[in-house]
Amino acid sequence: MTEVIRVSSLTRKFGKQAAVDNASFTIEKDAIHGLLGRNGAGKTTLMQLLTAQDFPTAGSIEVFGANPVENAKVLSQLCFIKESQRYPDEFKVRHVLESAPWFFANWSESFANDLVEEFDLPREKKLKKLSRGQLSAVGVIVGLASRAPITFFDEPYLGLDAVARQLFYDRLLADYAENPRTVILSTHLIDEVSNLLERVIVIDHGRIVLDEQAESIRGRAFSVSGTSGAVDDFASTRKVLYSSRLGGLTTATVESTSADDRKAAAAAGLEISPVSLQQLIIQKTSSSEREFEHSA
Amino acid sequence: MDESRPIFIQIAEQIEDSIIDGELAEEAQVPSTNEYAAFYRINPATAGKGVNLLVDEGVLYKKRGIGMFVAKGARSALLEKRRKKFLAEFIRPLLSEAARLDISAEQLVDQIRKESSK
Amino acid sequence: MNENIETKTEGTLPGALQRIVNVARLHLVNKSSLFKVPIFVLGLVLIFNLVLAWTIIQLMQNVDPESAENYHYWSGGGSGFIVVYMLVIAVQSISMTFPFAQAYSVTRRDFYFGSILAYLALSVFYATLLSVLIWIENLTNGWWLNAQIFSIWYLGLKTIPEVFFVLLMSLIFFSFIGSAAAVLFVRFKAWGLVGFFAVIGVLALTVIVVPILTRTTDAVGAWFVTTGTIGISAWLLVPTVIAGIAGMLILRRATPVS
Repeated sequence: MTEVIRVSSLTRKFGKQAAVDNASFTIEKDAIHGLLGRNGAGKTTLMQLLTAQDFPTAGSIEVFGANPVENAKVLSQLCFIKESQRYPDEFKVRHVLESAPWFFANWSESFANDLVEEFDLPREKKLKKLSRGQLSAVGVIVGLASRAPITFFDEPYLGLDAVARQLFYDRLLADYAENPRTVILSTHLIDEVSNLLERVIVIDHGRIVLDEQAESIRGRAFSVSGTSGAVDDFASTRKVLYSSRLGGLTTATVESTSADDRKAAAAAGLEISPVSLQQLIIQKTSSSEREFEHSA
Repeated sequence: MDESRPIFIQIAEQIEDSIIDGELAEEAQVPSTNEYAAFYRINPATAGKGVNLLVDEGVLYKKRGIGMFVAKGARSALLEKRRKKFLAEFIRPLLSEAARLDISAEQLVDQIRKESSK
Repeated sequence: MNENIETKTEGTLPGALQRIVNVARLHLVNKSSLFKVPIFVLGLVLIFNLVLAWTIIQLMQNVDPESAENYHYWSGGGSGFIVVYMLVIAVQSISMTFPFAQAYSVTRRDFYFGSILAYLALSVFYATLLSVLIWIENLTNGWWLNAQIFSIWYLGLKTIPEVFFVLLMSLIFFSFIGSAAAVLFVRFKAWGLVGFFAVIGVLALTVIVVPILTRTTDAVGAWFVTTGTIGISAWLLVPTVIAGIAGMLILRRATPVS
């Protein structure tokens, strides 16, 4: 895999608080990445750093092999419209569509027009008069139609209903298949997007807690439930991500890819159920929160 | 899609099912990776991985610039593979559960006959 | 800060120039605050003053027809308004357009130069518009009412090109000062503006107090007289350039805060 972004020991502090804390990872060319984490985990700050909208406190970022800061050659390859994106007061939807091609070399007018129709956007309306969902649709359209070599979507669907979100996912997939490019999709709606992702990067309290191929994460954990004694017996020799107890019953999420472990659990009379990417991440991030609180 | 297993394996299995059921005949063209991706709403790379799994197994073959096709003899090979899997995944667990419940092999055979003649 | 990777500046002129022009176009989309509002106000100023001048003349004719004949209506507001309004335009359009330009992946440098280009173009446009209005005002002998609404002859100017030059220099000066204020706001928010006015205050005070303390008030006064309006307008280029460079340096590390 060729990498298009390399991040090394990246830290961004606001006062004493580290929004991004010693993060190191790479972004692969022409893959869809999920940047997952809770609200406030540092997703937006991280993307602002990658797009040189913000400056690191420490560490380095290379985008296409160069520092993106004030680098027009690099920046012109990026598109990043934030969830809270501000537009000039007098801009109408039309103005965004007219000005975007000045800055994005790969801009597709026909694709943008199709999307405007599908999202039912009023071209002559001022952006500040749009509903939250319509404003998100504007961002989604710019992100998709720009066909930038690296496109960042930061929680792109605030205020969009389920139908519109599905429309976004479908158009993203179809256009990505036709015009492969690097996509970084930040979201906390993990279940909705998990099948779209090739790579998964999970950030929690500014730190990267998981960075893997989506397919290798799937099926790497399962959850067992049964009487506390039986579950504890089974879990004692295995890596437990999370467990909860109710009366004499215990449920535990066990990190393991081996089929033998599943057979052993079945043999021990335990109920086995799959763990979704979202559940896995929730459990990963809440366990790291406990670690965080211990060390604090 | 089932959350507990890699999606590319599930895609491969779905294509296998279509071949076994005869929906995809031998020498027929298989939908493209992008079509599978759009249909199942999954990442094209994942769909590609599933298709490639079947290419590696000789179930599908690639015609340069045209697409993927079902190989000759794919169906019988798949049937053979699935029958082996059937033995491991269904017959053996069935027998071990039957043994636990004191059901003899003859009783089991009787029950199966009764059920299948219903 | 990680300074070991130095910013690579990209030198190919056509690409860079195109990006700068595109940023300027981005500003000029805001037609109502850049054109419609000021031109509308200019129109209002013209009509309001003409009505006022005409009314005064009518009233005077009833009382003393001879002095009405010689009455000279005088208002300097028309041109002064646009000059000061340039500052407002610069503050507003920089602070509004910067976060958007960042979303379009524009470098801060290209954004700043593009903004400056837009204000230079606007300054030329308004200097021309006002000069034409003053020319008409002259030609029609004060809109046939002997009224001076846009003219700035009181500044000791003799020809329309001189008027154009003084207006252009003032417009550019105010737009650059406005840009510097806007950039301070974009980077430091409210404290940036506080700092801006503090600096302006200190500078103004210096200009007034230093001559008094050094007992050179007369010399300074004499300098202003000998330099003249044209000379002073030319001297405006110095603070203009300083504000321009300061703005650029301040913006280099500004972030579009969410």
